[in-house]
Amino acid sequence: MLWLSMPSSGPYSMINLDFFIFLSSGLFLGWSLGSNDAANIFGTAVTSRMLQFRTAAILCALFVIIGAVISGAGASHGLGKLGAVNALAGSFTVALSAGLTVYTMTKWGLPVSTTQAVVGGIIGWNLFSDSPTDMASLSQIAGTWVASPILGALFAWLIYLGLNSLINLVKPHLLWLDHWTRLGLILAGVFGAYSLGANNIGNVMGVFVSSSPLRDIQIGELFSLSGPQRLFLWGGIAIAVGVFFSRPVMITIGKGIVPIGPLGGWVVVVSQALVLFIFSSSSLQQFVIGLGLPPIPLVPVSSSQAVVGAVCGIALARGIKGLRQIRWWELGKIAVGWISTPISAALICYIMLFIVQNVFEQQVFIAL
Amino acid sequence: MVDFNFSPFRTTRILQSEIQEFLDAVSMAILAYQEGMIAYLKEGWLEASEEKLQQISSYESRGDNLRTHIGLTLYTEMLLPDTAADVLSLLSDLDHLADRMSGHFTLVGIEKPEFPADCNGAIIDFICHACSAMEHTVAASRIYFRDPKAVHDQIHKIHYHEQEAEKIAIRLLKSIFAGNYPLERKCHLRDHLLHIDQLANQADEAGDALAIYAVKRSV
Repeated sequence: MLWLSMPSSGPYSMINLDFFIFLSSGLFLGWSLGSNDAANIFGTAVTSRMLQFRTAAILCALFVIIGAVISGAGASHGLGKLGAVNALAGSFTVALSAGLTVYTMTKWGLPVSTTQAVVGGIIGWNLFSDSPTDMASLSQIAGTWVASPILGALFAWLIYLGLNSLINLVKPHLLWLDHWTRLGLILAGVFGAYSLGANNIGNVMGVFVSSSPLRDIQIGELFSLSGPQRLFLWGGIAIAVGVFFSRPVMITIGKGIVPIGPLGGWVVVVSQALVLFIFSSSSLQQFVIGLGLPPIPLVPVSSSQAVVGAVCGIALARGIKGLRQIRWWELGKIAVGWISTPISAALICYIMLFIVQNVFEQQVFIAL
Repeated sequence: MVDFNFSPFRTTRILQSEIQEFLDAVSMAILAYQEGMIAYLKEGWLEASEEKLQQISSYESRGDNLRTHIGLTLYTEMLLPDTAADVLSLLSDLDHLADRMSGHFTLVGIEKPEFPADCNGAIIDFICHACSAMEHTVAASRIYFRDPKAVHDQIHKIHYHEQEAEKIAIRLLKSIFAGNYPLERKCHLRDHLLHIDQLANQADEAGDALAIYAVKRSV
């Protein structure tokens, strides 16, 4: 047993090392998410040499952690409605199966979303533990998978046209345009990193929330962290560490986006960040409800798919010429991923839960 | 005393004014060359021509220094990462125009070519078209920095003046070689006419390259 934490209930408390062993699969998932998805945020800025990799990685890591701790609860709660994995070994297995699915599908060159893999893992756990799957939540989550690239395209289309009109109106000098683009890429990247942390922390740590032994802590007079926030801090740190390994992916993604140019890249990052923000901001959800509109579901969405949507949005804004540039086959593969990823993850999770329960003799669910 | 005049906009502001100054230097070199050549044709090599030569050399030298400094700043400060090469190439093309004008006018001062008096009108037209082609290249360059889509409006004017210059050059060469002058004089005059024609051609090439840079700058 190790002395690792200070819960509110007493001066000190012991957190079993087992917890961190089980959490390792989530941390691995976080690392992998950081090393892949940071590229969506700062890829264009780094590849077009507008920003140095080190600066981009530090900013991204910092704001991913801030986003995860401050605003991570909404999307994580949305995922929790699908199924509350109530045993640590179960959470470990769900995260591991999601990680394996992402790893395998990436290796096979198939577009894959961590969100879809985690959802598949939870469904696998539900099936194994004979827990009901909330079909309303599932259809809501699946709806956001379709909505996120469409919204990404819509935002990119609007921002691209607006930006074009603004540039045509103001006609800034090339040097000033470069200056403001650089600044814009930093600000959009920071916003994107914050939104990524807030939205995707649910993928990484969402399945551990119900089974986590971490409790609230008070640091000094003003600062306090709830149990889930402490969990999100760990997840945020894992994503942040992953960000520092994202250079190769950044270069690959950036090169794919560079033909759009740094300004187009800025449009893509802002659109993607807006999509992630919409699906993770509780304040925005309350505001929409206040207007009498149906609430926006707070669930993790795929940043990569929002990026693909945004790139298509720019192509649409360019008219017929842009439409010809869209790789429809890639879009088709994404649509196939909406079905194949969760099914694969659910299947892998079901098999792994069986192994963890019967071979390693771990309790993967608590019967209610 | 330590200077704390730090501003994140300082480099951009300085570079913008340097580019402006460079374009002004090339433009003024063109005006001085045109006036100097016309004055030489009308009055021969007098003090005014010598003064114009000094002016052209000084603009050319200032342009050289500015171009070097702009290039260094763009790369050391990592500015315009995607367009720095195009901008430097454009400035280099314009700098070559200034170099060529300075070189040719120096040669005129040394060799003092004797153009036939009856050709003076056509030669002045020829010089004016060549200088107009260069002027429009500078104007297009200024536009490139602010409104790349409008660059095309200048390019066709460059083409027009280059083609007119070419037509006059051929007409002049035919007239000179048909005339009753010694061969060495014919060849001497041909060299000078080709020098002027090269200015128009170079301006045209710079314009073509600029049109491509402008397309590349679309969002």
